[in-house]
Amino acid sequence: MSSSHARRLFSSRLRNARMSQGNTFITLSDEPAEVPEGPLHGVVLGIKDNFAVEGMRMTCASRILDSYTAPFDATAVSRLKSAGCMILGKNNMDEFACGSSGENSAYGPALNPLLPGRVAGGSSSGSAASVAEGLADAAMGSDTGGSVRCPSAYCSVIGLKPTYGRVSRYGLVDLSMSLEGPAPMAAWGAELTLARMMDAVSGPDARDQTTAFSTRTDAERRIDSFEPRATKVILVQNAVEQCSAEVAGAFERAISFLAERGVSIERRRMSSLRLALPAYYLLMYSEFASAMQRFDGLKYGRRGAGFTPAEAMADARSLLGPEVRRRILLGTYVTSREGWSTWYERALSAREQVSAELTSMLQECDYIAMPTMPAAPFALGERASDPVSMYAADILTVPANLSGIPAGTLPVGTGTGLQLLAGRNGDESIIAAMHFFNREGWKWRRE
Amino acid sequence: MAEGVKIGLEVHIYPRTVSKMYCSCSSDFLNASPNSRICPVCSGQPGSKPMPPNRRCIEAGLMIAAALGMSAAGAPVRTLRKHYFYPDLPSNYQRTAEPMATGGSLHGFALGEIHWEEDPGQYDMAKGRVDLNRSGVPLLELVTEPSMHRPQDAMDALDDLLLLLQYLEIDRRELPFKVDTNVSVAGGERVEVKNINSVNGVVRALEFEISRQSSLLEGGGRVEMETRHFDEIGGRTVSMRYKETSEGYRYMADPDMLPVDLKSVSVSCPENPFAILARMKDGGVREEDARVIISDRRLLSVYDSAAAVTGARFASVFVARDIVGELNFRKLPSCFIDGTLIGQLLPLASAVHGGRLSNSNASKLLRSAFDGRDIAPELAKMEGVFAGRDAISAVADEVIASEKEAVARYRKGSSGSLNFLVGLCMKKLGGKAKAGEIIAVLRSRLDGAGDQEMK
Ligand SMILES: [Zn+2]
Repeated sequence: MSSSHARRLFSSRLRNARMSQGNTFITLSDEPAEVPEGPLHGVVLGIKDNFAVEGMRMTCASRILDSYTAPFDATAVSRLKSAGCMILGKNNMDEFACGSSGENSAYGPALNPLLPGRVAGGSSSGSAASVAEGLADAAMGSDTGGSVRCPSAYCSVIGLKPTYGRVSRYGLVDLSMSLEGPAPMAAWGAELTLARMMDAVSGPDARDQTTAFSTRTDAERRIDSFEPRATKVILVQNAVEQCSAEVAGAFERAISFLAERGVSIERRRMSSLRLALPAYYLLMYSEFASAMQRFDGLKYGRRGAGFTPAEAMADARSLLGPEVRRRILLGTYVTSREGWSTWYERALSAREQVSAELTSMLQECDYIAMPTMPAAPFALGERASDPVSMYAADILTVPANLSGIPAGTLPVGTGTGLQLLAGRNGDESIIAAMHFFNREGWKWRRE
Repeated sequence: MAEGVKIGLEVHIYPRTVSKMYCSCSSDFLNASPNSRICPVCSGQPGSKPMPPNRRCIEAGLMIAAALGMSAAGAPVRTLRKHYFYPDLPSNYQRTAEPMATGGSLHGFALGEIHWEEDPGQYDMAKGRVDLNRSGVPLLELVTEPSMHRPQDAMDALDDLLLLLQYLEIDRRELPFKVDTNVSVAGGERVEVKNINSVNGVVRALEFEISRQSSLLEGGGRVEMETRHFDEIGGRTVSMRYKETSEGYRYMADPDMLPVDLKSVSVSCPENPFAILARMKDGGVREEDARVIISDRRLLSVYDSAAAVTGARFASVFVARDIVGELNFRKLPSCFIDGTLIGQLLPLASAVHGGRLSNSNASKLLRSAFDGRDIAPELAKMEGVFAGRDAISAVADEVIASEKEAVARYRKGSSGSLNFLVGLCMKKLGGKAKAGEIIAVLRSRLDGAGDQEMK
């Protein structure tokens, strides 16, 4: 693609995005001055609004950062730019990534283009929805407990939560530092783009210590490496049992698709699954409260909103949505002296158990399979007043974050996904599995 | 003096580093316009991450720990987040490491631990302005047990610490440390006095606190646990009107930081300065002169050469007063004293020590030497005849034969050893030789081909 062609493409997407009713972007970009050559030349990209893009507004979908301009590029962003991507804009999301539906955005929910009236999933709601709507070819989201896999499933696109530490988090605004990371998404059929995105962004970065011992992925070269007859998948039976009939049915159809092509399938129960959700939420709250500590009304928020620090603080907190405030309060409690041994330490040990069980299962197989979300997307507003039922939807995505292993999702129906987990640094093999489905003519839309 | 006084110190040492603790900004916050030495990391921008901790700071901490007999942590050291709200703390948490070493003693007083941390920025409450140049500057916090009983004890301990930092060449001369001290008297609670910037300030703050607490108790009052601020100008402490408790900090391991395995950090620790101090005092050197000399490794090397010629006591006075006096007068750093100058100074010292030169002539020659003139001819005129080349060669052969170790060190490249050998020759020649000639003779014998190289 020539550079002028790339710029024309960008202009037409920008026009479409401006006219779109989907509310998938908070801020749109200017046209790029030049588009570097590179493996991702001309790919139109959405960036979740919790990544720093130098000179662009970064709101994290929160009123407290409504006027904040990022002074630097996140490492993932600068690497994607130099690989040739064109950034269309900053995607809508749940405020500070707190949510699984996209409804907790100060800028209103991103809409699901496939299922009108239904949520797009979260927290990378706008990223998934803008790809599904055809505005962006791909998007960079972030996944803390399913924040990329959930909206990918709800919007029927592909998404990968990489191995923890394999993609630099520098410039990704903290939600829960030990669980999250940048996570690419792309349209169904665009596994090659996903592979190239991983190859571009992964590998060591001096600005994120946790990447120090990582390696760059080799996903493009290994995209055809899925060998069905040499592959064993463990299917988590008690995960499937938690799902709606619609989800379970679509999931089983995809499993049969694999089995018919020679993949060996074994059904198992995962006994630590029940620990995953409480462990995840306790740790996430704790780290979140620490990360949010800086938004105190003196450094961010409205200037002159109060004369005393207490007034400024109260004003700043009033700029945050209820879910964000709920998580800060709970996290502060969990890490306080009263909460520490009762909750925080127990959560750490539960995390160990989940991690150990997944690791030992993965020693016996190539992939662990389960549905991505237990049910199809719910209606907008349906669960807004019930955080516990909202949290429950994350049950199948959080185990991968607790253990730092890669997990990807691909569509098996409208708004439903198949989730594949692999061992540490198995990112390439998950993309190869997605490509296998595509190559073999997988039809996720029922005729 | 009050009964049952217990004093502990928390010394925040500014190690001499180029950059900040977790980013590559300059750590020189004193000489910069406000907020000119900041980046996304040390200004706490959303999404920024800390870089691995400053290596030099960790090395400095390990050197201090080794010199004070502390034992380094066996397990990898984690970095914790200490949460509190303050305008000068960009993320509202401070990164502070677990102890890197524990135990040991300073001037005989038991130590608790040492760890690294980052300094917050500076908040000007009156103007409502924040300067983040200091944010992220490396600190080493050395904590003593409450093992001291008098303000003088604290002063002795801090003097020793200052000497150590200078000797190890890891201090920031313009601001070596700031001190928090805690003090209690029998029957009262512990009071903490924060942010004292000088040794003198620590002594004054402690004297004020001990007398304040004692009179409170004598008057039937109570001393409550509290944190006070030291008013440097008024020489008094003032209540900060809030209570700090460690439970409020919600310490947690920082997920963005990898633990540091101290075994992977190797430091070469020079000879313990306190042993050198003891040895010098045994040789009759006065403590204050010894401290001046030890605090500067260049002076220490000049002293060692001079002491070989003249003996410890004389050499210490010559270095700590005459030479240092000349340096201070000329506002010169000690590195001004190069090999050539040492070659001039040693015969001078020897002549004065041997009683062959008057004090006023000696001062005159010292000044000439610092002016860069060759003082040998004048020195010869003043003290008599110089030894000839043959006499020098004979003495040089004797010295080379008897000082095998120094010769070996010289051959490995130690220039100090040459000074040492020159000093011995000079001594045997009663100071009546030109150092330059001794050097030439020694080199021709030790280097073989050295003559040609020297022209
Ligand atoms: Zn910096």
